[in-house]
Amino acid sequence: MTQLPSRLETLDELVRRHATGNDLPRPLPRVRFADALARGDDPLHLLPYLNELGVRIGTLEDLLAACTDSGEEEIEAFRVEEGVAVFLVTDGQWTVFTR
Amino acid sequence: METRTKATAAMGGYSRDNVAWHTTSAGRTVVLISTDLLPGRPLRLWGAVVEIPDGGVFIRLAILGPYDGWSVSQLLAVGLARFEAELAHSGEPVLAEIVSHMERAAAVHREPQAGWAVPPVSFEPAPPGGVASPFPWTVARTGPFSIPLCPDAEARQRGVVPEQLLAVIELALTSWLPVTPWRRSCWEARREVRAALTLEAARATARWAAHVADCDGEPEMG
Repeated sequence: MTQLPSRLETLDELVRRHATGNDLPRPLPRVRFADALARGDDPLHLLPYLNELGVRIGTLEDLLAACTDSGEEEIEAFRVEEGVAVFLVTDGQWTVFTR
Repeated sequence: METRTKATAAMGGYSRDNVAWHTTSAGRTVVLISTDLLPGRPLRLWGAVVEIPDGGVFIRLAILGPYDGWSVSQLLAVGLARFEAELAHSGEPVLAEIVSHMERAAAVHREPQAGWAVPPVSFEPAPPGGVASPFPWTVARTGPFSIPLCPDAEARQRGVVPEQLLAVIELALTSWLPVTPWRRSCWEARREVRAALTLEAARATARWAAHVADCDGEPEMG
């Protein structure tokens, strides 16, 4: 579930909050959302994945909505100051889509 | 690779058959059949008909439990074992690449039903008296189900060729994608299998072209 605090978290805060035990923050690939959209791909291959499922992604809000859909058990997405941070539950990979 | 996968849904009455098919580079067809309801029969039938010279092989896919057909995990294991055998036989670098795609697919794939055990698959050598095979096994078996694989590396004899096996897995994963709780894992597994299928189709096409060139190079019979 996506929490909407009064003040948006920074990415750093999110990753620290999300980390459990000794699972410390690791490098987080960042990609400008517009660039990913133009290329049709991103480090997590989220855009081709959603495209093949028939989900239209035009804005960061679309991406956030698609990733926080209750059917997406293996993907988590969070709104952060920088944009939208996506976490793949299956392999623990992050990617940050920036504005 | 030219993808020749098509799907159609014939709807009518109380039975609905969904069919998707894929034609390999050598023109051997794989057809996925799903029958929602067979009048007078309790079990839903789901599987793939694989064309081989002089006939076909039916690969029944598991749908109600782990023991009523092949699960995708098992098919991935069969595919991986076959490509490992092909790699050991010919050592083509592209086979190592295909093996690594299959390993990644097997690593990310999750069976849709969490409680399903995956029954073991056994591998049997080519029966004596048949076509000699360079591979240590040509039949994969689990419970009452078996898949005869093409015994020769040139994929011209009877049996399911590796490209067809990949096509069956691809079609099965595509069927699971809209309904599995592990949609992302299923998609990732399919992505790896599609990459392997593309490489294998290119390999099969090149092998066929080399074979045709060989035949053309032979002196004409006078």
